[in-house]
Amino acid sequence: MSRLLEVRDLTHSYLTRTGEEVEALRKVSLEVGAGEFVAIVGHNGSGKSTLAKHLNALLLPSTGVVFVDGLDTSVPENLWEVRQRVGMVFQNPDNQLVATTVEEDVAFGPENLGVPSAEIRKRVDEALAVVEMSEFATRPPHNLSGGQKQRVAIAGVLAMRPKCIVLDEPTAMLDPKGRQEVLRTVQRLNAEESMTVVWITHFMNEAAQADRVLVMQEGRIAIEGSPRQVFSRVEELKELHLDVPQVTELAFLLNKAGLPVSPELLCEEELVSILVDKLAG
Amino acid sequence: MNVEKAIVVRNLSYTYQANTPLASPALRNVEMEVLPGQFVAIIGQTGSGKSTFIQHLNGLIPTGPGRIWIDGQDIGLKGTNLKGLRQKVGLVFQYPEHQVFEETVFADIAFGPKNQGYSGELLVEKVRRAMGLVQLDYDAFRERSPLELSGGQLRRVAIAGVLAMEPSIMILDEPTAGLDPKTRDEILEQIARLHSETGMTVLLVSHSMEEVARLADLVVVFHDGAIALQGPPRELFQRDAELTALGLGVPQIIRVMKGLVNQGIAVDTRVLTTQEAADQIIQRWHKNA
Repeated sequence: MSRLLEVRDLTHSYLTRTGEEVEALRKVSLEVGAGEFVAIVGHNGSGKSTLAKHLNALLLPSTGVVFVDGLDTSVPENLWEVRQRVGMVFQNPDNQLVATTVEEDVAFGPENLGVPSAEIRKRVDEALAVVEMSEFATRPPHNLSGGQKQRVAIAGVLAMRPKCIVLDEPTAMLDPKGRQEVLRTVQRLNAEESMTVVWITHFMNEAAQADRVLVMQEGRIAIEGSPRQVFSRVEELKELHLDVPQVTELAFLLNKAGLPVSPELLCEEELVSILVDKLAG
Repeated sequence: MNVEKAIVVRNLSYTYQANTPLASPALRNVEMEVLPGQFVAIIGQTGSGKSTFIQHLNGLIPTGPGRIWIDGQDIGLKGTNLKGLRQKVGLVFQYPEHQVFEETVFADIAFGPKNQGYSGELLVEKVRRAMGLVQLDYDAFRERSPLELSGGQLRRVAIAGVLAMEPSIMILDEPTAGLDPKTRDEILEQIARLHSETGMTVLLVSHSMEEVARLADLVVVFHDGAIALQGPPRELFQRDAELTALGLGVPQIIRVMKGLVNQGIAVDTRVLTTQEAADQIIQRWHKNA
């Protein structure tokens, strides 16, 4: 897997209104391979969003470097290249849609890039097809559900033909159905189009779907690994006030009580089949 | 009539944009009874009628042909004191921090009781008590600007603003939406404590079965404008197939326990926490050994 994003010793500090210096990121290093699906979890103020905003040069490092597809984000000439390669989707679907119809909204990005209109038409149609929103092309976006709005926002990013999508709590304001829609859409993009995905979330069942999970705490990456590895560290996660999937927590409790069950478990079928073996008869 | 009940709802129906081509029914013959001090969770998908329903309970939407009694009083009667009703039934909307508008925390929380005619020491007492209930330190926070507060603090200010009216029924519409797990747990603990300390009747609208499992005495499931299922969480979660068909699902541990039973392992599936589930399995394990 070739490297698409590289973050090296990234520190980001800013001044509050009262003049205090806050270190939002402290020497964070990270690599994301092309086609990888990485989830970032951690509670508010842990530095997740600040990190995400460095991945498409919405923020620039105080110290350290960020490379996107080999481009240094702090070099001003690279700015548009970087933004075209890494698209962002934010939390509030109502703040991201700007046009009066869905298709105009999706066309907004490529129009700004000066893409010829026939090519824009093609990109908009393709992007809406990928997020399964083609039938809504001429509708006004404000009548859509939250999940549909987020899919349109994703289509708007796709129309820029990026290599990576960074989604900053894209499901936080959605109901369970909307969350499913958005997650499935992004999973499909990742699987079928090899889109690189950085997915920031508070929902552990979403993070469990990623190839790799990063847990952020106080501006640092506190825990990193596959979802199984990360979630099996139940006590540390609880200390950080993060959720653990119930199945993992149950396996952890059984393990602690001396039952031969590994806490590296994520889905209920796995746990059931292990327990049936041990408890039957 | 119905004096012993905190809330009684009979035959409540509501149609948005009634008598127009856009008419869409939002509630169909809803009936409900809530006892004083009960903790009721209202769950259902977006568009199932939850929010429309709760807006009826403090008179934001008129009852129409249906009837609602709050503390024995029919709120659909002509001449009902709506101001008094809204004092009695406190409603915390979704994203309540969007409704915090005063320049200081004190002024925001004082807004309701001030409108009720309280002033001076009595007003201060009301605000102090409300802040105490949501564990915001009075001296540290009263002069702060809401703009300087964190999401969780802001949400507590909004809840305190409703508590300052000293309602006997508190309705919260998805009070944890958009919060991180730590802040979410803090707010839920807050609500649980409030319920046990004040004995208030609480109605909590939620999307999370795990949340509901921990808190509620009674879970009411809305679907398509009607009450589809209801019961205490332990019993309700046994109907996992029906809940799944309604697009809601049950907590993961229930699925594990049911999975075991389906494979012939006798465990009690009526669990609410991972610890209860673990205890069941461990017990069974020792029996086998």
